[in-house]
Amino acid sequence: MVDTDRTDDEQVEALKRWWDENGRSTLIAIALAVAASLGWQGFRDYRIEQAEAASIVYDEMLEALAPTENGQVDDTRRRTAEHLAGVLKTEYGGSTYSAFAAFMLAKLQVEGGDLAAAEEELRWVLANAGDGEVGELAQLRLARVMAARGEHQQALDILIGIQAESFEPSVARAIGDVHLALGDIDKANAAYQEALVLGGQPSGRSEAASLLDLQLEQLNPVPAREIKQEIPDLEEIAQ
Amino acid sequence: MLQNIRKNSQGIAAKIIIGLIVGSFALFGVQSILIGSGVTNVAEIDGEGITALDLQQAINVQKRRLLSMFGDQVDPSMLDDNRLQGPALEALIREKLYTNRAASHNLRVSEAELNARIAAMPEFAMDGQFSPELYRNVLAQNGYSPALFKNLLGSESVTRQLRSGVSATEFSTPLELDLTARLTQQKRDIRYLTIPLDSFRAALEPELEEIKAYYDSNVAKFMAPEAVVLEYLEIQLEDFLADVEEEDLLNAYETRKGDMTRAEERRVSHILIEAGSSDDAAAQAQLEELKAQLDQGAEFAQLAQQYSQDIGSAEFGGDLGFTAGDAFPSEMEEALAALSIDEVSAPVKTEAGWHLLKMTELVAGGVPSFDEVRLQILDELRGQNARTELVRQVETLRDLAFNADNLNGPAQELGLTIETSDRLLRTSNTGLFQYPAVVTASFSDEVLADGHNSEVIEVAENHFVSVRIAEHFPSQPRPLADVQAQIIIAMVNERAAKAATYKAEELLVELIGGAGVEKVALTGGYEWQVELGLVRESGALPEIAMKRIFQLPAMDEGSQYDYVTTASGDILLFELDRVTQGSLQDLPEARSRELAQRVGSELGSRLDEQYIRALRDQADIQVM
Repeated sequence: MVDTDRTDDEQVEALKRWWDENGRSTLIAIALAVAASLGWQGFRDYRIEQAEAASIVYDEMLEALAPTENGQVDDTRRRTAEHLAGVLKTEYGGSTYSAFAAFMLAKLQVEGGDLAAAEEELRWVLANAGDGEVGELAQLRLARVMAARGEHQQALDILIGIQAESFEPSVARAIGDVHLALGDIDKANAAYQEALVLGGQPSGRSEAASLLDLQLEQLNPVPAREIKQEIPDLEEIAQ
Repeated sequence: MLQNIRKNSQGIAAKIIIGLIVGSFALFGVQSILIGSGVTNVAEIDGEGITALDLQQAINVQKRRLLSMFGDQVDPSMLDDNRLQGPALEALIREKLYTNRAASHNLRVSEAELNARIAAMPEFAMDGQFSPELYRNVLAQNGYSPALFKNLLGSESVTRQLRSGVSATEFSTPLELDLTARLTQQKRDIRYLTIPLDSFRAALEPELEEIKAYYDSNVAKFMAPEAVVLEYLEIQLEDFLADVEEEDLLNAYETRKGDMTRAEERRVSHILIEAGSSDDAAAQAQLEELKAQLDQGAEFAQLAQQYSQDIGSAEFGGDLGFTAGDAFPSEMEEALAALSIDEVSAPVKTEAGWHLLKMTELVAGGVPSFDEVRLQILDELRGQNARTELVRQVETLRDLAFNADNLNGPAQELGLTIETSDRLLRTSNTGLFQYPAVVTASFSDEVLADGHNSEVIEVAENHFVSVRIAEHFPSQPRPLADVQAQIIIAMVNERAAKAATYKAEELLVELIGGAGVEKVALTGGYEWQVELGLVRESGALPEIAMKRIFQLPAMDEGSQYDYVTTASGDILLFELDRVTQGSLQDLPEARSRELAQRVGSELGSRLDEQYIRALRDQADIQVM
């Protein structure tokens, strides 16, 4: 192990000496490593358990919002969903499930006309579970809600500040909407064009023109045709 | 030095070191030490492989799905592995992308939850209860192992959670709805008149020379398709079915009769009373009682229907069908063997409980007589002999047809008659051309250009042909007389369309000059109409007209004039008078909720599309 000149006895002596000096700290280090490892595994197991429990609540929430036969979600079911979303936010805060739950609440609030509450939900996502594409989505939706509340400039600031990685076309489109609301046709047009280019041709688009196409068509009208100078008569046609 | 370690392994330091090694295994498991099993990957996503096996499995699943959807109607090319491979791999990649991202968001479904879901699936339920056997059978039929299925179910669940979290939570704000309503509820007031195409037709009949000129310059449109008349030799199994000597039949009977021996078969009915250890005696007693009733002339079938606890057979008077002595438990078979026809046994005990047995039919076993099986043997021998002869003939024809210039020699040698087909177009699917292989062969270079005999083609089982071209009719223009009527129609349509357009231009000038649709229409004798408050999706006018009307700029003042040619050829000349922007306020509650739904779901599906594209862009995907 060390010096080949030493005899075996000497080596054992050396080891014993090393042990007397360092034994205690070595044992402590090992104990700490074991404890950390166990702790990490425990934490991992806990995280898995939490996620599995949240998963069930999330599915129940979606189930409550699934349209029934008449295509509507009645108030009782909506309240059930809201309650379950609340559970996800309080019990499993910080998880992606909690972010999705807050998104769902924001959606219900926008549908119910309570934009202020929706804004609060989206800000909650940003503060608690706003990583990656979830954060991007939260910012995009927050800006749209603010625009709807009349805070156009703030909305634009948020939208332009988004480091869009996943939902670029939707961000561009939202920017177009704000410009259009402000009456800035040229900027709206440019943003919509960008959304169209970034979005590409979505697969399986329905025969009805998409709403983006409609906006673009409206912003880029085709004027009536000009009159041709010469109009031949029937005899000429027959020639 | 190894020696040193061994010597010192008694020492404290050595023990600690060994302890550490053992401990590391215990704490971190062995999986980190296992190495890959060497399967080939067809794609890798962020270092995780999709194996060739995964792909094959996905292809097979897709095949089964197509087969169960279309049954025998399925076009075999649809089941081609090469064709299914692309989409199957694509689906696997998407699945992997979603599940990887779901995992990084810590979206999970527990084992217990998956089990519960499987147990609740109606596909695996028998009589309202989950049946493990049915579960395994259904999975096996669809090419899944239970582990694979559960895995798939799990990734499908988290994928759905992820996608719904992103897109099903999408909404539409009042601002967005208003911007949309401005357009979808926008109203346009128009007046229009229709210039019918028909009104120009009469005046535009072409002269004969014009027709001739049209024919000459458009001759490519009037080609008759290529056609052939075939000569062919046909060999079928039926040609060789000959009588068989009685002696041969007898010989065949002698050699085969051993294989034809039938076992004795009994048909049995039963009445079952189920019994556990406690009610054993009661069950037996009940059957004794029933037996007594039978002895006094009661109907077995009726009692079975009334009392038997074997629900499946009770309905049919207890009938269990035939047994050759090995279908039922041995206690039952033994009792049955002792019965004569229509006799009822004493109660017999098996694992299921107590039975009364009645033999209802006895089919004698043993060797069938020659007369009983003569026709069957005759059929088999005739077929056998004919096939042997057929194969010999086909082989001979192969050689002869390949070496001869035409079919005369082969026909003579084999004693066949040369047949001649009808005139067959390349596109025909009648006669010999119902067989695609014959079409391909007939238009191959060797047969068509070089005039050789085709090889011998097996068009169906035991059915062979060799063909050669008797006459060839290359694609050529059909005579003018045949197509004159068609040309006249085409020319008139073409000219009328032009004339109508000129007319539209002429009237457009009048409209722009301020004449007004009404006056122009009345002067020219056209029908005219007003549409006030036309909205985009009303479909009140032909689609192309709606499109054009709504493409025109929304001007505050003044009218705009234009025309479109509709699909029928009629021209719609219109005046756009006013554009009124829509607004959300004008929409009734129900309609505005509908609009909110529509806009929200469109925005949601755009997010869904963008998401999978982004996952793809952000991943490192290698397709091998």
